[in-house]
Amino acid sequence: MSWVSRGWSLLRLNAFIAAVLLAIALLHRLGPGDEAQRVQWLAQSQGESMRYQSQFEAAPSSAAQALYIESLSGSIRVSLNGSLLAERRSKAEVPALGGSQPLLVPLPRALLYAGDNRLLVEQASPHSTSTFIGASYLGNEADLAPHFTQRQLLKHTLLIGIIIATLVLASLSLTLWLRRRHEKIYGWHVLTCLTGSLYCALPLNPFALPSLWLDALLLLLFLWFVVAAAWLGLCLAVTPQPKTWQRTRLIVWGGSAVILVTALVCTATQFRSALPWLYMSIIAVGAYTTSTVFWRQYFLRWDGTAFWMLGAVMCICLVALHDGALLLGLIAPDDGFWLAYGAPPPIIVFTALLLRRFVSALTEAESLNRELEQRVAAREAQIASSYQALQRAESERVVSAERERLFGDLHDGLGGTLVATLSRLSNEGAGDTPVAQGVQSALEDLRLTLDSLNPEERSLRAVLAPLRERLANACADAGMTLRFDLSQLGDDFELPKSQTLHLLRIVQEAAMNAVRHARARTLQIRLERQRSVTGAAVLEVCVDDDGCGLPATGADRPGHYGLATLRRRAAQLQGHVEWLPLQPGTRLYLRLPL
Amino acid sequence: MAGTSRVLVVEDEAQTRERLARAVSADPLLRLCGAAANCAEARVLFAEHRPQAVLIDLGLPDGSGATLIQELSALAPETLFMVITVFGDEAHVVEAIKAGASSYLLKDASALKVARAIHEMLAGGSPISPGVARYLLQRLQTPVEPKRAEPSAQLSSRERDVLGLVAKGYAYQEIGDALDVSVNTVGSHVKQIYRKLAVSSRGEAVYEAVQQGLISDLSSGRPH
Repeated sequence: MSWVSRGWSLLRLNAFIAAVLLAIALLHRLGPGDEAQRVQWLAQSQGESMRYQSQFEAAPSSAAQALYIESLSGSIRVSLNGSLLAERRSKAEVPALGGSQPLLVPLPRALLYAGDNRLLVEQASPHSTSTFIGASYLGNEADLAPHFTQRQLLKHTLLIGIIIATLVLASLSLTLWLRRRHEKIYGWHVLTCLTGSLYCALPLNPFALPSLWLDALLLLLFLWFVVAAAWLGLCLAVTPQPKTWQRTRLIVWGGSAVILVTALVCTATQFRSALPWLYMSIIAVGAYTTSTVFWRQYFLRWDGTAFWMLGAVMCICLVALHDGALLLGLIAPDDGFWLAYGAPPPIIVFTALLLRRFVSALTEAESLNRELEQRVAAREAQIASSYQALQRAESERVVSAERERLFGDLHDGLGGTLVATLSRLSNEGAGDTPVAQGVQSALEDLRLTLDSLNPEERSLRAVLAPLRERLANACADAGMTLRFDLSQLGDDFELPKSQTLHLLRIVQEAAMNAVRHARARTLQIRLERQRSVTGAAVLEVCVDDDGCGLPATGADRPGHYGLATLRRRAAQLQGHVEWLPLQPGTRLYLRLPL
Repeated sequence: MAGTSRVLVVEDEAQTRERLARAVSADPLLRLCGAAANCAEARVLFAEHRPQAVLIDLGLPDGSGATLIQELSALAPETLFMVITVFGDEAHVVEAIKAGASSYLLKDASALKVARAIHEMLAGGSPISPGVARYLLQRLQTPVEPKRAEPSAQLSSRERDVLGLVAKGYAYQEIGDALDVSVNTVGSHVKQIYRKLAVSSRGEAVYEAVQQGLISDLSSGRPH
């Protein structure tokens, strides 16, 4: 990433943080202007309570008058000229939702004097940095009421909305976590959302706890929220080291112990004065995590994830710093605490990151699933084909064994007898008689049958090889040259077994015809795969001789040279056979559909 | 008799024996030194004449032709054996080659072919069929156990090429053209291959014999 882009990124980061903080501040600054009179309070500490007094002259207007206090902490009693007008009970001291609510008190005309009127606000908690009274106004009730409603929307309804939204997110994460216990990150998200919402919601509906224990509980929730959020961010940004986990545990249990022990051993007053420091310590832990994890990640990665994480945690850090400063009495407590408004950005960002993680995990799982399905399908196909191959091999083995047995039988039986007969004929000088030729043909046909039966011999070229050798010998004996041209056939060209035998017989018969009758010098046999005119694949067989040619009437007298047999065999193959005259010689042309 | 080769015919069927004998006699460069009808006669004639070529049938009345080939080739390693078979099928041919034969011939071969085949064999060539080539490729190319694979029984790459082409159905002339060697060289490659099968078969027989406890383990030197 270039330095310019880094600069822009930093600028955008600052702009984002400033925008969020400005929005929070502006929301709190929407107060009445000139239409109301600002009340100046005289504060007075009185034992366990604070008294704020003010004197004013009632306006001459006939409209109903009211007192509007933007923000007020603790339990309150408001009285006018000695008569109690309003009362509110709240026990929390820690900056939480209930701690700084607006108040609108109508001033009954009957109680107002014409001259000086005395307003008294009693805060039923001793003076401390967390008890305060915000900006207060006197004016027409009709003018002040919209401001009160706005303020209540901001300080009450909006916060309840945030709490409910956070709880919804927590329950979603909880559902995920219960199904995927090993994914601890969802558990941390649940803890973050739950502690954050409880922290804000607890003072709304206070238990009957002494104020000290309520504060201690709130502090504990705050600590757990900060640690859970920091750990969640850490898990989202990096893979935390075991050392970091040990340190985190130390902070959680140590911090919780410190809070509990402080609550046990201190008096309410002492605890109250220790409160800001405990609170600031927790903020310090959060700030430390922010600087060591999120800033580092940001400077290392400069990517969108690091940007949003850092921006979001910086918002809550600065908001917490504001609240810390308020607790320590460093800034005026006009607007109350902001913490709840700083929490949504990190919760939103962390939830979005978690969601992205979940979605990408889901996508990955789906793609893995798909891949697995494909692999299973491929494997199944493989198994099926292996099974088929196995079946084929088995049937081949059976055929092979049968063929071997047949070979054995024929070798000693029929084959041996035919050979012996041939030998006898030859020995008796009848080797060239039609009888000898017939016996020879029978023997050759037996060989062709056995050749065509070989289950291992699939390619036509290999099936033809024994015939080719025998024809070569016959040609050599007859002083002829044999040319066998299979160059256009291809090594792996196969024919169904049923067709192979017919083809072998046709080739043998045509070749032997030429050897015996054509008085040729050369015999050429060519097998070729071709496309017919219609585009269908055909096998073309040419048996050419350069001999004397067929007798003129040969075609009309089929049967003379076994031509009828050849026709019949061709017809059995759905093929076509014809004899073409060559100069010199004859061509047997056979075309078989494939 | 210089220039002629002595040929012995061993065949039990009388008519075939006679025809083969006449075929040998008809060739001026071959001299028939006997025609035996069984193993016993063959042994006697062999010892007497020490033929250069023996035409032999595998199924003899008093024993197996393969055993006889083994026995006789041990006596005279320079003698060449040609098995005569009705079909030239790989079962018979391979059995003969394992025993030490270097050629095969169809029993009904013409007289001219008989003479041609003997001359080719004496010139160092061997015929081979696709089925036999496939058998040899499976058997010699991938030794199942290294222990059983003697280096002398392993095929050279050129020999594998030859076998591969034969198994696909190529003729010697086509193989010679494809590998750019003469037809005779192809034939002598095949002869070499046959010799290797015979050697590996002997090794195998010894190995199996050791496995079955027929022969004492040579390394341990003690009988089982």
